[in-house]
Amino acid sequence: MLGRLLKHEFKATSSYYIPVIIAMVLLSLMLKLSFLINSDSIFLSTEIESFSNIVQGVLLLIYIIVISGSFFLSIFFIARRFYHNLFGDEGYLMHTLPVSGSQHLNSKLICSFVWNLILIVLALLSFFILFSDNETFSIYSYLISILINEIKALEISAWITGLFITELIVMIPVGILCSILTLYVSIAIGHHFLSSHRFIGAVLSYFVLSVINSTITSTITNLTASAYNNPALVVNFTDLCNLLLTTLSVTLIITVIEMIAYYCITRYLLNNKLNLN
Amino acid sequence: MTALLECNNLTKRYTSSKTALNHINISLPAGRIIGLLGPNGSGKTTFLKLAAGLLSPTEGEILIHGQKPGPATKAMVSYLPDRTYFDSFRKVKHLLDFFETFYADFNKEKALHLLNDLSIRPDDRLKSMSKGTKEKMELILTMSREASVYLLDEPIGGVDPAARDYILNTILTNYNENATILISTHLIQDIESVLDDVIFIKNGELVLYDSSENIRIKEQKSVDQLFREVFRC
Repeated sequence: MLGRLLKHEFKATSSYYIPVIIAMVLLSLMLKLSFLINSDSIFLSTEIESFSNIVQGVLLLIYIIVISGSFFLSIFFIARRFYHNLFGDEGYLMHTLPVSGSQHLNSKLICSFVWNLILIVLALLSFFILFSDNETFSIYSYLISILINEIKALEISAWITGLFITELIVMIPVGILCSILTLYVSIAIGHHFLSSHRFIGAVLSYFVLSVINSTITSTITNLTASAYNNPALVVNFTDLCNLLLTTLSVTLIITVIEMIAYYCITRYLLNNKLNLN
Repeated sequence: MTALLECNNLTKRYTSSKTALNHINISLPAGRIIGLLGPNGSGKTTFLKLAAGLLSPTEGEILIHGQKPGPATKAMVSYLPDRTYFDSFRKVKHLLDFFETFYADFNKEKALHLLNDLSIRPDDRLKSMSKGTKEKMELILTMSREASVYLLDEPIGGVDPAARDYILNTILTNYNENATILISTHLIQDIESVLDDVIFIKNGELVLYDSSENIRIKEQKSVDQLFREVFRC
């Protein structure tokens, strides 16, 4: 049943994400083409050259708007889909399916996660392809090799470096899941606790959770900063690396805890406290 | 005879001052067409929503085949709400596919046949349908499932008399003798001839539960007349 829900969910949400992905890919290609033309060509005249530059500028602007806009709109779309499909009129159809609240939650979570991961990977790829060519590529390789040599020279253990990099990578999917679940739990809380003013309830919950999250993040940052400035704690570069790793690990653990808590609360409310208007 | 639908102290409170259902105790058997009759705001929709699993009881319980509302009961309960629920579906065929995918007891051929009677084609866009056509379509989808319990919330409310006849006829001819149909309405005259049993509900409380035949014999009145007396303003 979860498989069928997932299939339905992907189909239903593709009407937003597929056009966005196509737009991203097309714009990236057009912009890249524009870069190549502008850097290599011998123009017939200065008018054509300036026109070409203007076109590039406009394309770049559109590119930035589309990339940032699509992420921002995606948040809105995820929230709207969850609210509308499960707590709006369509909820009358969805909740009479022989499917549990958990399955509804899982299907929406997986689907939103996959689409957004695709968007992030595409955006990163797009950035990389656009803003690098042979020259910058060799600069990247050079910088990375310097960094690796430094790390080796200072004898920072491979374990710490590996863990740091792993945690950075893991932070991406965990971050996506946590953002989605913050939206979902806010909607569920708004639906349950402020049933006469659900939207306001959801916005309020989201705001409160965001504030809590920011407070925790800034507390961690402050602690790290004060530890960094404490000469007794940070004696050498190894200590600094340990400190950074600790900060990252703590942030990661807290995000994971938030994610699990929000998931459990949403699931409980969906399974046990559903009250469709 | 084990009860198909059973309520034990079923209570639903929306706020401290608004009690939609007040300690309802009732046991409904299989194989009956039962009318849930009461004025607006009496708790009919709340009752049906609780049975469908769209609301959680404040106190007490409602059981279908001895189970609390959940995926297992939803597989055997076919619910027709009093509103349209298919916003994001573009065409009739998408909705048909959806029903076929998720409901093992959905009879697609029957649904297509009935829709065809109303000249509704699978390629028709849902947005372009009139309210009456949408309601008839929803009813057809609901009745095309071979469920144990059918919960119909005001199925004839917003449609013209000819459509009402069609709807009632559809309900009767597609009725599985082992199933129970619970129809909520306040248009009693139209539906009276179809009902085996009636439940009168007033201000969230059970006022009467009897067969329509008994009412006609005992009270020497039609159900509609009795209703007007019991619920006189």
